[in-house]
This record gives sequence, structure tokens and C-alpha cells, in this order.
Amino acid sequence: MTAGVPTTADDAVTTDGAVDTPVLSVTSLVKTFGRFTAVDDVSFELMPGASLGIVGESGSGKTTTARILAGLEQPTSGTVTLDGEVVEGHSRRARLRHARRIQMIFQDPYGSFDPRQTIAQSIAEPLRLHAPGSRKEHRARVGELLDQVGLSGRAGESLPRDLSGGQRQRAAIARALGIAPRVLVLDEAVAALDVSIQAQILTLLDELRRETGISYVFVSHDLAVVRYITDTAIVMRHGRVVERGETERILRSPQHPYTRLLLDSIPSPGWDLDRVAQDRRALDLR
Amino acid sequence: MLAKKTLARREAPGGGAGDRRDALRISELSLAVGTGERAIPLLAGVTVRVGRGETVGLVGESGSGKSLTARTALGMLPRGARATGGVTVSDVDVLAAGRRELRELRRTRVSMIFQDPRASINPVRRIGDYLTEGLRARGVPARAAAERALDLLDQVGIRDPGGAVRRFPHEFSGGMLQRVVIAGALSTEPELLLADEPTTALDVTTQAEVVGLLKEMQRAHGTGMLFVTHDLDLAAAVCDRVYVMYAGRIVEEAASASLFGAPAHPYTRALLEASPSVHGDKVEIRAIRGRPRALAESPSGCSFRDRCPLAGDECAETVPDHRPHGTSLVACLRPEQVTP
Repeated sequence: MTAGVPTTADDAVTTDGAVDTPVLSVTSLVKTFGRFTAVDDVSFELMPGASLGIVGESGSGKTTTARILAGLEQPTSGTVTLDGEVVEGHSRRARLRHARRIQMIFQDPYGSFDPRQTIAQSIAEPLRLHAPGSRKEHRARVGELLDQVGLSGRAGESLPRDLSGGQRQRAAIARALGIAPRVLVLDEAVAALDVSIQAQILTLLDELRRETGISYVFVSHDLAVVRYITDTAIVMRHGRVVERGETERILRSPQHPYTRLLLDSIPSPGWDLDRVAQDRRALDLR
Repeated sequence: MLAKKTLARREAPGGGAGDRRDALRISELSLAVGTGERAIPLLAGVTVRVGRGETVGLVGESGSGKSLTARTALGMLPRGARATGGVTVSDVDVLAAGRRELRELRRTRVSMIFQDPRASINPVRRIGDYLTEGLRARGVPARAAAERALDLLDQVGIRDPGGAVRRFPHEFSGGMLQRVVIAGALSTEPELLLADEPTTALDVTTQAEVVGLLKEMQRAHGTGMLFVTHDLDLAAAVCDRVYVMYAGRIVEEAASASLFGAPAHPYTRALLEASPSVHGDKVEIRAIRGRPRALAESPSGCSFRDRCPLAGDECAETVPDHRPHGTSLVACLRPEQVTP
């Protein structure tokens, strides 16, 4: 799997900027659970420093796709290529190697921290695992990371339960960034946060991408958030990609009836519920 | 009585003083738990009015007290809470009501729907039982109640109502179950419907359907609705009028149509600027520094002042009164700097 291999016929996501090789490329990914196909022939590429949105509702297969990327699920077929290398096997060594390059952030950071460890200890753990160095060096790095995501040293000494949702999400980002992965997979990472806190995390993610050149795969049901944080996007429904392209283009001129339904379903002043019903009929007719 | 009169005057921008019998009238409601030094205030001076057949939004972030406010309409106060002020639901003084009166109120006049339909429906009883329960309690004969249940399911767009009444909650998807809950809530023809984040747990496209249904049902039954949500866009799309809450207080009241174009409170404006949008040109979002606060941990004077870009020394002195600005009623000393 090399760069520039078109993933599908209407491949607009990846072909520009062909000088670079993609940091992540996914080809014909399929995941079945028994007779149920959760992910059905999904392909896309992600350039270094780029941000790709995966948009969909529950049951669209977006989270399963994200979990395969992060190595938490094994695909039934298809390949994930990371940094030019096909991801294979799940021995401890292979998993560590994978984790060094791709990290994942979840919706509820509370579930991803050890409740008995301080935030600083949790952030130091992947460093100990992946980055050789003295305890002192690690401590210094943790301080840097806390600073980078806007957490105080005092927050670092706290237990997860003593922090607010927004602070915990910052801590999760700090922990993921510690080992300088190439790709961050964010699964509904701001969905549970209050609007004002969500904006803080979004602007932080934006800054980090510009400063570090990290790439994002941003999984979300929220088109407004996806618009803010991504350059390109795929829209998934029932495990399949129904639309792909530049995020702005998708929003301005959606081609697939499902994308239109999604867009018209977003409440706004003068919300037209009849149009939503029309979209639904158009989709059912297909 | 006197307090009520001043209230009616204050509410002028919100579409007139309304009829004598509003669906809900919360006036100068304050709520605290504990006593003396250790008392924790939860709500302060909250005034909310829902006219008959009107849809009113209550918008705020976590800890703002929006759910707490809605629940007082059912007489559901936190354990050990003391309330001052008034809560009236179609002539019933809720705060003074005894247990029997409250039960009667909940049975016939007010219904509530919650975010997660699965949490408010008995998982081991059939849908038919759920729908007829309220009707039977009102004295409707069994057969008439059963027929009414079928009719209600049909109204909320459930296919095959006859089969649905025999099914259990787990056999329905979240969106379908929320429809059943809406059918149940409206089965007793209440005067007031309290909807607490009724679509937050649903998919975007399902949300649109459920909101459409809710509006349609409400229109058909003439029910007043208090719509509690964290989503400003949703509130503006659904409601006639919106109250914005912050740290246990109402900071702004406005007609939804004008709230977006001309927010009068710095908090409302900040919320709008912090929300990314799919409409129009792509604009930068602006984060609000700090985090939302509860009343007990908010600063003196204006609760928002520690996060407000416009705050000055005088904002610390007293809690600003509500005063008209544009089409809003706003608790801010300098709304003219928010929207000239």
C-alpha cells in the first residue's frame, strides 16, 4: 500500500498534496460480528498534519472503524497502513509499536483513568512504557505536557475524580501526546462537554495540530464540530462510506441524500421539519 | 399577592402579562439545602412563566439549575431543600401543596419527559400497561383506556399499535421509546409538559423527528411546554421564548427569534460565539475562559463576572436586576456593550 493509490472512484479526500505520503491509509476495511457487518469496505487516507472527520449516527460503524485504527479491534479483512507499514499481528510487541504511533481519546475520559493514580502518574505511564529515560526526565516531560494542554501543576497532583470533565479531557490529551504519536484518533471527544468547555478543547486541539503537525481522525455525530476541526471528511451509514470530500464542500453541497438529511436535521432558527421529512422520503426511495 | 403584581409588570417583554391562568408561573424562586452557615444555595430569584399552549426554553450549561427549576413545577425538590417564592401550576400552589394534592397534580395536570426514556419506563411491564396506567388512575374504564392507548400510539407514529402495546420497552429503539413516553405524557391531557433534554440521547435525525412530533402533539393538545436543554440552537428552533440560566439564576429572557441576532447578556453572546455552526461562512469559535459554576461557588454580585470580558468593579457590588434591553429582559449592568 503506497501513497496515491486512489481509494475509491470519487476520491477527493487524499489526492491533493501528493508530495507527501499518507501517514495513515486504510484499504477495504471490513469488520463483521457474527452475521452483522459493522464496517463494510471502508477506505481512506490521512496526510501528515491533516485532520479527517468520520461522521455518522449510532450504528454507522464509525466507532468500530476508530477502534480498528487504534488497534483495539482486529479487522475481518482489509489493511491499515501506518507510516508506510502495514499493521499486522497483535503480539505485545506489535501492539506497543502500534500504540507509539497512534493514540486514542474517548468521549468519557473518566473511564480511561485509573481512579487511584494522580493525573501526573497517569500521564507518566505511557512515557515509562515507550520512552526510555530517568524518572526526573519523565517528571519534566509531564510538566511540559500539563502546560501544553493548559493544566496547572496542582491539577497534575489531583485524582481524576477531583477534576472537571474538561480538565480530564485535557489530561487525556496530554497523556496521548506524551509519546509524540503521528495520529490521534478522537472518538466523540467533545460530545459530553458543556458548550463553553467544548470550545476550549476544540481550540486547544487546533493549536496542538498546528504546533506539532500531528494528524487527527475525528469521529463525531456533530457536523458543526467536524466542520471546525477537520479538513476532509467521510460520512458513514450502515457501515459504508456514503460521501467523502472536503468538509466544507460536503456541508455546502451535499451529494448523498443521507448527508442532506443529516444537515437539515440540525436545529437552527427557522428550522424546517417538513424538509427533514422530505429528505427522509428521498433517502427511503433509494 | 403583591409580589405577583410586580412580577406581571416585569414580564412585559415576554409577550404581555398573559392570561390569568398560565400553565406555569415560577416567581422569585430561591432554593437552598442545609441551614445557617452551611446552607448551600441552589437557585436564586428565578422567575419563569409558561403561557397555555406556549413553548418556553430553559437553556444553560451543567450546574445552571435548569433541571432543578423544571422539577419544582412537580413539587420535586432536593431532599431537605427549602424554597421561597412561588410556584403555581394552573392555580395550584405547588410549594404549599400536600402529598395528595401533589399526586393529583402529577396525575392530571403536569407530565414530564426525561433524557433517557429507558430510565423512566418500567422494563418488565408491557408498553400497553405503561400507557393505560395514567388513564386508569384517572378513573377511565379499562377498555376505554386500552382503546385510547392504541389511538395515542398511532398519533405518535408507531406502526402497528396493536402489536406495540404487547411489546416490552427493550424491543423498541431509543427514538421509538421516546415516542411512547411522549404518548404517555400526553395521555392525560396535561396543561403543562416538562421536557428535560428530551432528545439529547437521540441521533440527530431522530431528534428532528421527535421534536417535530412533540411540537405537533403540543399544538394539538394545547399544552404549555417547558423545554429544558443545553442546546441554544435547538431551543431557538423549538421555542417561542427562551430563558438563559447561569449559576442558579436567570440571566436573560428573550423571544427566540431575537436571541440569536441580538443577545443582551454577555453570557448568551459568549455561548453563541463558542458554538461552532454548520450554517453560513466558517467563523472562528471563541472559548469562554474558566468553567460553568454552580450558584454556591459563584462570585459575589454578577455570577458571570469572573468569566465575563466586560466585567468591571461595579459588577461585584450587587446582583444586577432584570431590565429591558432591546427585546430582551437582561440581568446585566451594561447590555449596550453586548449588542448596541
